Order: sequence, then structure tokens, then C-alpha cells
Amino acid sequence: MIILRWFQQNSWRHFVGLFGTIFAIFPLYLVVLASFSPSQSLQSTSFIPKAFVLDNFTMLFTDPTVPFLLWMKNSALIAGAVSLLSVFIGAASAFAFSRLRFKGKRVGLQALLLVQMFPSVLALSAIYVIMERVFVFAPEWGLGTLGGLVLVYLGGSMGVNIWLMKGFVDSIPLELDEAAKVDGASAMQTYWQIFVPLAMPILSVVTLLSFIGLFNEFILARMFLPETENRTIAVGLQGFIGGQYSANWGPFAAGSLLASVPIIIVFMTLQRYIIGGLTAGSVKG
Amino acid sequence: MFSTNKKRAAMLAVFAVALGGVALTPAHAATKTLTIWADETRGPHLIELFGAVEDQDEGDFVSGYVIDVKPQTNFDALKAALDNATSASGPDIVLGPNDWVPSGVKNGKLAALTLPAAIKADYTANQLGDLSYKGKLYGVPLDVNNVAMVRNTGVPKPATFGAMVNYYMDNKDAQGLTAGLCILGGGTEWGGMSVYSALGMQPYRMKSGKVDLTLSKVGKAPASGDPISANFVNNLKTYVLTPDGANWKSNGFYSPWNTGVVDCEADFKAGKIPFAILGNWQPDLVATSIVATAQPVPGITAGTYGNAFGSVSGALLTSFAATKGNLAAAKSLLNYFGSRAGQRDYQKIEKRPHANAKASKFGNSFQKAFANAAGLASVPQIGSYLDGTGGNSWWSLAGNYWYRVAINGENLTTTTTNLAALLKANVVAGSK
Amino acid sequence: MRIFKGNIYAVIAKLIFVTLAMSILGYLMLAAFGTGDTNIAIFLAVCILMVAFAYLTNISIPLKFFAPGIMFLIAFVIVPMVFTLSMSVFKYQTGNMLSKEQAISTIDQQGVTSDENETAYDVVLGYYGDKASSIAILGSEEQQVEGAAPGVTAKFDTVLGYLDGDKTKLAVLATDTWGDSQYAFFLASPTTFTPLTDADVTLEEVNYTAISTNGFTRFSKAELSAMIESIPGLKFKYETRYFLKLGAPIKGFFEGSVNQSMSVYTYFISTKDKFRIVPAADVVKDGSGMAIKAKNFTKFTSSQIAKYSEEIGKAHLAYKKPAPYFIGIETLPSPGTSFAYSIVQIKNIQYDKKADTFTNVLSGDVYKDDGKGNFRNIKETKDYLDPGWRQGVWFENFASLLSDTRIRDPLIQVFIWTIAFAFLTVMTQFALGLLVAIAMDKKIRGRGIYRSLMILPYAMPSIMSILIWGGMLDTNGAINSLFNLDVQWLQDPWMAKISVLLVNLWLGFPYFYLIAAGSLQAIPKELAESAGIDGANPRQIFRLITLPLLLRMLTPLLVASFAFNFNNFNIIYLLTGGGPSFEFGSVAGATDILISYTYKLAFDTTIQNYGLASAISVVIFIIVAGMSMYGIRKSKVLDDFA
Repeated sequence: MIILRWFQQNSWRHFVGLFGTIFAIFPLYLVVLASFSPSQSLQSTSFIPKAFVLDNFTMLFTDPTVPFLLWMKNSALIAGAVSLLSVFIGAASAFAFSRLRFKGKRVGLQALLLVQMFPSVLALSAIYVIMERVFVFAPEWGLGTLGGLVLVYLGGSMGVNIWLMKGFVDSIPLELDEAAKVDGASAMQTYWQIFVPLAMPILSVVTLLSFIGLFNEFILARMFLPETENRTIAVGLQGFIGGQYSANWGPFAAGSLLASVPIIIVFMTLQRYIIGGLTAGSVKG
Repeated sequence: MFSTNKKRAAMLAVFAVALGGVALTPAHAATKTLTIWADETRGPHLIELFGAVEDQDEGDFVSGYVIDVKPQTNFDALKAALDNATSASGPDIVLGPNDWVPSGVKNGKLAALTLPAAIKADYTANQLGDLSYKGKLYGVPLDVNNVAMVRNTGVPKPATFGAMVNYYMDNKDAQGLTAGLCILGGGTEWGGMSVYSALGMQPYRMKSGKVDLTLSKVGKAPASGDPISANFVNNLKTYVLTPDGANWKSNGFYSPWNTGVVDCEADFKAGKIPFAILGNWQPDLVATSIVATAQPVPGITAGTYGNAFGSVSGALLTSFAATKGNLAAAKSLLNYFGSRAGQRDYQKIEKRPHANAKASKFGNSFQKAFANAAGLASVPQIGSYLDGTGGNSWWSLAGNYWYRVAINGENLTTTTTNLAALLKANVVAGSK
Repeated sequence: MRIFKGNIYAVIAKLIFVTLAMSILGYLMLAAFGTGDTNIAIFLAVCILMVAFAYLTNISIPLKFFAPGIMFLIAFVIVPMVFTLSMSVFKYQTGNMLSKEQAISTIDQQGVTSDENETAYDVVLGYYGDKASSIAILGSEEQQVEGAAPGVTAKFDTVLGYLDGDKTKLAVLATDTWGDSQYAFFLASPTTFTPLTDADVTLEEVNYTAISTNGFTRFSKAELSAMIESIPGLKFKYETRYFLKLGAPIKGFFEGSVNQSMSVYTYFISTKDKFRIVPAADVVKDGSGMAIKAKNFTKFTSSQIAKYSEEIGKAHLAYKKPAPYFIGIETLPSPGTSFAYSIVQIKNIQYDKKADTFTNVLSGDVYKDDGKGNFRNIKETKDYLDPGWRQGVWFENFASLLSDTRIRDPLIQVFIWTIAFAFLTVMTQFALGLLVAIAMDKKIRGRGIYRSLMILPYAMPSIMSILIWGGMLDTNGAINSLFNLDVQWLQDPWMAKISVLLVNLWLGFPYFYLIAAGSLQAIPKELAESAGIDGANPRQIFRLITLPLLLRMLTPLLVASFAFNFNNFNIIYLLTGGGPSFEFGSVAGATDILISYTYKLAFDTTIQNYGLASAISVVIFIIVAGMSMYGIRKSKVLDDFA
């Protein structure tokens, strides 16, 4: 009886859960399948693997024309530097937007939002030309350098992060910094001594989300870092299947798998905070 | 905490240190470099030819210069980079297809050059014409891009298109054929053009080295330059279509793209498809013995062939070379590319058919087979006629057409009439 | 006023940071000035001032927080945005990409042509006199002169006729009357040489001279006398290198002697302003007779060639004919050789700065600014010079969005699909996300596992998952083959739309699941409980209480998600590329949204139209901004900042 009632009450929940789970992992399962398959196509006629080879993986680590580890390092460096710096810079702005009173705050926020909505594909050309000039006078920060791409990304991620973090800052109770103000602390001191320690978990979440977002960037990176040893992982892997006449799904699947695993692990480990972070920004009742 | 004096002192110190940092002047290396941009396959091959920058002695190929090859991720990326580049980062030479020449000149990205008569004599007028715009030459031909038809082991050499269809129909059930003719290289638009051509459709017709502009008027008799010949529809019905109610659909012989049933590469290798269109950049896709039989797609009557696109890719001279002061050096390297020795050395690595006919004797059987097919039946790929200034490019028309009439079951006559009008419009637009 | 406030370490840290930032910016500024990038240098200078103002004074507290963000935002977001906005009022497309100055200088640079004979010289590079920087070439001009062929003294008696009955195909039938040559008889045309034996020919009885052979017809006396004056000097092939030259007639026969062409060189040194003929005595020649050294001329060493390569490539040296003729040096000498390749050119297209016209000095054609971004021939308007430049056209691009049916019609379709795509995406993602969230809103067995697996799509880098979906949905891909289907997932217009939505649902539902789950927990349980006590069933509770509350909470996120998907370039571009195209050959396709259509217009077609693309960008911007502002005002998100 108890089991039957449990089923009546919960069976639909399991049904939904199972459906969602199958939908979610179906493509991922195929990636796993493809990465261990000797065929270069993404065509499989069975859910059960017929052969199990590691060729696709060994190729990533041995073929000198596909420096997989270097690409991973590039992506990690770029996404890491940008997400840390942009959160560092953006948090200050978000704090100011949330807590300070100044003229033009509303206009500033709206402007920031508008800028965010601008369809920026055409800006590619302008950015290219600017960074090309930068390369002329500062070769280590211009077009074709990791540093240059970091700068460009920093500009691009500023708006989103400020907007996102402002939501989090708003959710931190005001009483604490009121108290600090009474103690005679300056805005900067309040920021560093009260706000930053309090917001640390949230800042980490934004950093992580920002990191994942940057990992995905493709259009700009492809144009910006064409050289094999400078490519990001997204551009490098796309090269397997984006060639003029070729589609090597095997190595692509293997590479995607390897590239995703660290991110997924971090995501899973921190999922409690991420969920908290995501909702904190939006949900204020 | 701080007195005003101390504050001033501190601010001064900040500025002083800042100035100190500024005073460090940058030092730049003075090696002269020629930069080449190429796609993901040619790029690494060029590096193999010239050696990595750090391994080169200055002046191995051009007096006083080292050659820096930068491969881009793929063709699209290469084009995008070239579109955006200015002399600040742009290359001196870019390896690209002939249809980049007109837009490159119009956008001020390319510069003209004059080849010595001895090198010029090694190329056909068509090849040089492919890389020319308004009478000036902008690069040297490097390799021929074409496709040819290969047939599977044991399949007899077909004399006509009909013979291939018959072979497929006769053996379909016995051998479990999934299709008769499929495309391994070049896609429907590029590789498949030779199939359309065999049946009577071509984006434009050639007459003594130029595009034939004699087009029929509405309701008038067919003209020599018509992209779609009078027999085309009938040929489709006879050879590749089968009735489907009031309309028509594919009879299964021609399979320009892979479907759930047809996997061109796997099925051809397994002997389940007798004929395939192979690109000359795919030397390793099928067995050498099969490649040796490469030929153009046979036409409706024996001895005629469907024309394949035979374009050349070239090493193009950019205007950045002039801006950067590398003009003479870049032209020197282009002369090397164009020379017989340069062609021999490069194609030994690149393994495509030689553009320089004199160098083709150094080719392997693969390179020779494709050069031979190109010699029998080819039509130059002229961007201005194909890309359609009116927005009707051949590239999107060709595949779409087959999809519409053979798969989607649209009315054959109407769709073909529409296509004919668009192709004619392209020819007219391209000639301007 | 206290400026340096607070803890000593904090102050020191701040000073170090500010100093570092300023010196880096200053260093970059100077470098930018050095290379002539004044705009960037000025921007950097303003940044330095801003840093100083923000951190070394206490005038504006907020600026201390905003300064770094503002700098990045301006450099990499605002400037490119302004650039895009401004492009929309330009004719800016393939053929009109450069600025007018750049176009003029390119036309000018490229405005040369080879001379009539395509004269070319192999020359030695060097300098004249003692200034290494004044480039000179030492050239050898070849002339062909005729002389007796060495070792061939034979004279032939010949009769003149023609081949194959065609009187234009001149030929001679020659006889070695005196027995001096290895050839007793031969037949020769200007391009062919065929030795014959006496079996092949018919002899004239008096002199035993051959008068006929197969395929050869002798001219009649009347024919000969009509052309008699043009005969002496005619040349016919002899062996491979030599030729037979006819002399004066004797009784209908012509004496032929064997000659050769010889190269004779005249030598010259050309500098920028003078073309000097050099006496043969003043030059040192190589084996073939070409000059390799000369008096007053110093050959460049290979390091000098490298050093002066730029000047060599640009040099316009004097030719024996006056300007616009000049000699240009095409190449550097190949390593290990002495000679560079140079050609005689004519500067045929010349710019008149005052009139702002180009003139072709050979044809006399004048090219004038046509107001549309090109120099156009004033007589023959189809003829213009490449490249053109971007020309301001005010609102022409915007007008063509409305008036040109080839642009307007696809644009309308794309616009409708963009709205539908964004709306349906948000709806489906939210609906599935909410459903899952409600299902998981109770501690059921395995909830943690469900959740972990279901948020995988959100954790996985989306670029890779989109590409993988693309491969799976390929006609030849995993989905068709696994389920034994033959569906044109990405080729059929409607299936492609469904596929895009499906993939986007996969990508986005976990996000909404997480958000909705969080929000559900934030809704006070008492509300539902009290409603339950009042007799409402769970469905009613959901419809009347939970859902409205949720929607109120999540509206900003739904709006944001709508705006994001409105511009969701990656999924469209990477999954379908916008295809399949609407009509034969159109740029726009069934799954194109405005931003991907814009991208394709600007970057992916042969006729790239940045002007039109940026006009569309501006329109998109206005629409999205309008919608978001409306949404924000409606949801009162910004109310706290009044």
C-alpha cells in the first residue's frame, strides 16, 4: 500500500525526471560513443559501442599539428585572466551602482544595458582594426596575441558582469555598510572590508559563469588568434569539423569530452553555490 | 595620517616612477620577413617547403628575407582575416582561389605583377586569366582544383552516362547498391557541377576561351550560351528521375549528398556504390588503383563529357607588400612559386595537380590522372558569373535545385524554368 | 581634506597600483604616438588623466569604482559600436571599402601598365657614383642581328611555291646543287624543315634542280612576277636553329643561304633621373654577353639588396623614352644570381589633385568622382577605376531596407522568425524548466542524480554541444541512423526551424530549471498551505498563486533571455548557418535571425555589404532596446535607483 501511494504521488515526478535526464544526456552519450569509436563520422547505428579504441585521444596528445594541451592552456589562461579581472573590475562598478548615490546613476545603468543589447557582430571589423594598430606599437598586446584577446574580452564582458553582479549586491543587506559608514569608513573601505568578504561566494560564482562563457567564444577568437599554437580550444576543435572538405568527428568528440570534463566537474562541485548565485541575483520576492 | 607635504611628495613620487616607466623605449628586431597567409592544408605544407622561420637562413629563397607562413584555421577564417586586414598586420602574399581576385582588387587588397615571359609561357591563357582582373595579373597559379569521376574495382569503364545508369539498375539488387553515383569531394555545387554538365546544365558556356553570352530570349529558340540546354529536362527524366504521381523524384542513381541510406565514402569503399566524384585534394581517400582510372563524367553520347570546374588557386600579391616595402621581395618569391622548380618542390609536398604543365611530369599517378581529366573536360571557374551580383549565386542554386525537384517533389518544369531564368540573369550580370 | 586615508599598507598598495597603471598607460601612449596612432594615443592620455583624477584626488568617489570599467567599455565596446552606427550612413561594401585617400593612393600606385612591346630587361642592381642610396640598374638591351651561320657554307638553289594548294602557305624546295651539304634536297616553310631524297622529288633536267614534290606547288611565272619584289629576304626554317634566306632570282631560281640570328647588346645604366648608354668598352660581360659590371657603377652586395629592398621595389628609373615611361624593378636577384627582372612601364593613370580627377594619359580618358564612391569615366560611364571608397550616402541604406524588394522581403521574413524564435525559445525553455522544477520540488529518491544529470547541458561548453547537435542532425548523422529515419533535419525549412528550437531547448532548459527551482523555494509555503485549507486543489494553487508569483519574480529574467535569444548568433550560425535559403540563391535562409542575417550580409557573401548590414544592426538595436526598456519599466527593476 505504501509503495502504491508513493508511486501515485511521485511517479509523475520520476517520469518527468527520467524524461529530462534522457533528453539531457542523449547527445552527451553519443559524444562519448563517438570519441571511443574508430569511425570518423558521427554516424552510429547502435547505442551499444561496437568497438573501443583510444586512437582519437592519443592523436590529441601526439599529433604535433593538433596541440590539444596547448589549446587547453590558452583557453584556460584567457578565460581565467578575463573572468578574474572582469569580476574584479566589474564588482567595483556593481557596488557603486548599488550603494553609492550620484548623479546620472539611472542613466548610467540604462546606458549599460543598452550597450549590452547592441548587436555587435559588425563591431568585429572595428575591433580588428584597432587591435591591428595596437600590434604595431605594442606587439605583445595586439592582434594575434593572447594578451590582446584578453583586453578585447575584458571590454566585452564588462557590461554583462556589472549588470549581473549588481543584482547580487542588491541582495546583500544594507545594514552592514550603514554601520560601517557610521564608523567613518570611506566608500572604498566599506567596499574592501565589508562588501568584498561578504560577496566572495557570489563573486566566485560569477567568475565561474564568466569563465564558461568565455570558453565558448568562437567568432572573435577565430579571427583574432589564427596561429595553431595560439588557438583557443573552441577554435582548435572546430577546426576538425570546419575544414573545407573534412569532418573528423572522432577527434572532435574526444577533444570536446576532455575539454568539458574539468568544467563539468567544477560546475558539479559548486552547483549548490551556482544555483544560489543564479537565484540570488534575480529573486528578491 | 599624512600631512599635505607628505602627500605632495608621494604624488610627485608616483609621477616620477610613472615617467621612469615611460622612459623605457621599445626595441624592435630588424630581420626582414615576408609573410604568407594560407589555409589549414597549404599553410603547413609551405612551412615544410620553406622551413620554420627560426631554421631559415636569411636569403634562402629571397635575398635578405626569411619567409613566415601563417596558416589560418580554415578557408573562411582566411577570407575573413584578409577582408579585415590592413597593412598593419596583413600578409605580403596570400594563397587563395581565383575568385578572390576581383573582390580583392576592388577592395584594394591586391597588387598587380608582371611575370617574366619564360614563366608566363608555362601557363595557359586560361590559368593566367583566372588570376587576372581588367587585364592585369595579380598572382601566380599554384595548383589546379578539379574533380574527376572514379569507378569502383571491377566496374567496367562507362562510355556514356546511360551506361552508368544501366550498370546501376542491372546490379542494384544483386550487389545491394545504395546509389549509382555519389559525391566524395566538392559537394553538390562544385563537384556535382560535372554531373549537371553531363546532363546539359552549366552555370555558363564557354566559346573560344570566353563566356558565351549568346542567350535565348523568352519564347525564342535556344541559344548556344544558354546555361540549360533543350535536352536537360528530358535527360533528367531519362537517367536520374522516376515518375512520382504528377511529379518526379530521384530514381536512386544520383546521390549528391549523404542520406540515412547512402554514406558515400563508406559505401563506395564497401563496393556498394559503383561511381563517385572525387576531389583532387583527396589523394588518400580511395585506393591508388581506383584513382588511376579517374576520368570526367561521361556525357549522353559517347566521347562527350561533363565539364568539371577547373579553377586554379594562386599565390596572390597583396597591396600590403607595397605598403610595407616588400614589393620586390614578394614578387621575387612569386616568381619562384611560378617557376618549374618552385612548382615541382611545392607540389611534391602539396600533392595536387601542378598548375605549371611543364612541372607536371614530376607528379605521381594521382596528380597525373586528375590533370588528364581536367584536360579532357573542364570549364574555368569565374567568380563574377557564379556568385551572381544579383544575389543568385550558383553555389546556393545548384544543391537547392536537386533538393527541390528530386527530393521535395516540386514541379520539374516550373522549377527548371525558374532556374534557367536565374542562371541567365547571372550570366548577364557577370558580364558587366 | 584628507586624500590618503586608511591603513598604511592599503595606501602603499594603492600607490603602487596607480603608479604601475599610469606608467604602463604612459608607455603605451608614447609608443602609439611614435607609430602615428594619434587617436589611440589621445585615448590613452585621457585614461591617464582619468586615473590620476580618480585615485589621486577625492573629487569623485564613484569614479574610483568606475574608472577601469569605463576605460575598457569605451575602448572595446563603445568605439566599435559608434563605428557600426556610423557605417550605416555610408556606401560601404565590396568595391567601396577604403577611405578616399587610400583609394586615391592605391589607384595611383596601381596606375601603371607595361609598354606596347612588354619590354623587359635582366638587370644588375647597384648604385651610380658613390651614393649607395641612389639606386641604379645596369642593363643590357638585346638586339637581333643576322649573320652567316657558323660552319654552314652551303648555298642552295630553290624554287618558291606553296603547300597543300594553299597559296598563303609559302614554302621552298631546295637543292644542294654543288654537293656541299648533308641535305641533297629539302622542303622548308617558315616553321617546318623536311629533308628529302631524290626519290621524293622531280628534277628539272637542265640543272638537276628539284622542282616538285608531294604537297608542294611551284608558283607559276605570272604569279612569281607579281610578287617578285617581295621575295628577296624571305626566311625559311633550316635545321633547328638556323634559317634559309632567299637572295635575288636567277632564271626562276632563288639562291638560298643559311643564316643565323645573333644577339648584340647595347648597355645602359639607368638612375632615377637619367638613362645613360654605356660604351661596350666600359662594361665587363658574362658568358652570354650581358653586362655584369661597369664603370661608375657599383653592384649591390646581398646585404645592401636586403637593406634597400623597399626602395628597389618602389624605384621609378629613367627609360630612353621620356615620362610617362619608366623602368620598374620587379624582383630582387634570386639568391646566387646577378640579375633582377625589370620591366618598362608607363605611368598611365595620373592624378590631378586640384581637379580631383584621374586621367589616362594614353587614352585621354578622364575619371571624375561620381559622388557614389568611384572615379568614373566621364564619357563612358560603365568604366570606372578600382578600388572605390566608402561614400557617405545619408539614409540610403535605411531607405533600401524599405524600398528594395530583394532586401525588404527576406528581411521581413527574417524579422518574423527572429521574434518567433526568441519567443518560442523562452517559452519552451521556461515551460520545460518549470515542469522539471515542480517535479523536483519534493525530496524524491534520486533527486540529486536527476539534477546533476539534467544540468549537464548547462555546464557543458555550448559551442561544442551545438556543433555536436549539428553533426547528429545531419542527414547522415546519428539521429537518422540510430532511429532509421530519413528526415532532412537541417535542409527542410520547417524541420530546420524545429531543430533549432529543439537544440536551443536542450541548451536552455536546465538554466530555467535551476532558476525556477530557486524561486519555488522562495515562495512562502504558508501561502499554498492556507490556500489548501481554503479548499483549493493543487492545480488551482499552482495556477492562481504559484505561477503568478513566479512570473512576477522571473519577468526580468524572461525578458533578458528573450533579448539574449533575439541576438543568439552562435546557435544559428553554428547549427544551420541560417539555412536553408529561402529562394534559390538568396543570402537569407529559413532559420536566419536578424543578427545572423546581418553577419552573412557583412562577411559571408561575395558582395559584402557592411553599410546595409550596419543599417540592419541599428534597426535591431532600436527594436531590442525598445522592448527591453519597456520590459524593465513594466517590471520596475530600475525603480530603486530613482
